[in-house]
Amino acid sequence: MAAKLNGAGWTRRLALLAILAGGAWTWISRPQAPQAGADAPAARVGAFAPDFTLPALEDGRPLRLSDFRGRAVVINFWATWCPPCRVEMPALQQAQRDMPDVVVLGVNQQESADNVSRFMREQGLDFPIALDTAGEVNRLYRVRALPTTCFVDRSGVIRDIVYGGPLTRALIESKVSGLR
Amino acid sequence: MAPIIQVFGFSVQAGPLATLVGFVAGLWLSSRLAALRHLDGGVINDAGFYGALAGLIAARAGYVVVYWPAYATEPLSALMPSLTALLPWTGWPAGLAVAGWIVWRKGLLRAGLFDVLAPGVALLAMGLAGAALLNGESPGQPTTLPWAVTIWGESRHPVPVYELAALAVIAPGCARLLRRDLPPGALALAALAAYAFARVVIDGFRADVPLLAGMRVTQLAGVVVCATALLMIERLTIDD
Repeated sequence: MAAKLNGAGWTRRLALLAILAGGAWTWISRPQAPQAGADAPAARVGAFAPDFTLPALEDGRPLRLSDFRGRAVVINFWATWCPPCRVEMPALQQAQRDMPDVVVLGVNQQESADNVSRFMREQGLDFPIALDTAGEVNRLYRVRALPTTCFVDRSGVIRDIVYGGPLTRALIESKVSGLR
Repeated sequence: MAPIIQVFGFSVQAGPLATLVGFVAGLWLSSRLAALRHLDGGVINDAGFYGALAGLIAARAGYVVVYWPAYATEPLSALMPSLTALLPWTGWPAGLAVAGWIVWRKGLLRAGLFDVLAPGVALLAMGLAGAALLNGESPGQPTTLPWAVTIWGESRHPVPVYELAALAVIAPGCARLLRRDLPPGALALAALAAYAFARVVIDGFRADVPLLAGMRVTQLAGVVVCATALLMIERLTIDD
C-alpha cells in the first residue's frame, strides 16, 4: 500500500509556494546592470580573447592579436620539446595553406629564437610564430598543458579551446569552419 | 580553477575526469539501490555502460558527418581519441535510446526505475558541477564574501560549490527516501523539484546566464519545472 503524499493537498500548496518564493527571488536577484564581468576578456569559451603583443620569430616586429580582428585566428601554444606539439605542426601548416583567410598563430613557450628558428626550418614550417619568452601570455591564457589551441572568431571571441593534441588537419578545419 | 591536473605524471583534463567519476559513482549507487524497488541492478549497469558507449560513438559520428568536408580527405582522423570532436545533439539521443531500449527489453521501464536513478543522477550532476568548478565555468557575481573564489581575475560567488552543496543534500535524501513506501515515480519528481528550486536560488548569483525580460532564463525555467513536478506528484498520488 503506497503512502499517501497528498493527505491535505500539500504538494499543490508547495507548488504555489515555489512559484511565489521562486518568482520573488528571480525578480529580486535579476541583474541590475549588464552582468558584471561576464563579457570581460578571458581565456574561456564565449569571452573575448585577451589581447597580447609579442615579438615575431621572423623579424622581431611586434605581433598583436587585435591586429587580426576581422579574421579567424587559431592560437596554438607550443614548444619544440613537446612531442604532441611537434606532431601537430604539419597539420597547422597545412591549415594555414588551405585556409588563407584564417590566421594560424603559434605562440612558442619560453624558448630561444635560435632554437625555434632551427625547428621551423627543419620542419619546413612558415606560419607566424610569436615568442612568449617570459611566459607572460602563458599566464594570461592560463595554459596548463601543451599543446593548447584556442579558436577565435572574426569578432575576437574564443569559440573553442582544445587542450592537448596532436590536432589533425580535419579537426582544425572542422573547428575553423564555425569561425568564419 | 584547474582545467588540467597531473595524475601520475600525466596531464589529464580535470573536467571530463570529474564527469566520469560522477557518472561511474552514480551508476554504481543506482544499481546498488535497485533492489529496494525490486529491480535488477545489473540491467541498470548494462544500460549505463552501453548507453554511454553508444552516446560517444554517435556523438563522434555526428561530428564527422556535420564536418565531412574536413574529414573527407583523411577519414581515419575520425578515430582520433579527442573529446573535442563530439556532437551532443546526436550523442545524447543515441545514448538515451540505447539505455532505454535495454531497460525496456528487460521490462524495467517503469516509474520505479526513475526513483532508483534519482540519487545516481544527483551524483552525476555533482560530477558536472565539479567539472564546472575545475574549468572555471559558471562564474558568479562579484562578491567580497569570505568564501569567494577568484575566477577570471575577480572574487566571485563560487556558484558550482553552491550547486555541489545542494546536490550533497539531494543525493543522500533521495537514497533515504527510497527506503520509504512511496508511489512509484514520486521520489524522482520530488528530486527534480528540489533540484529545480535549488537552481532558482543558486542561479540568482550567476553572472553568465541569458536573460528574458530582464530575468535569468534558468531561474524562470526552474520555477516552472519545480511547480510542474510538484503538481505531477499530486496526480501520481491520486491516481495511485
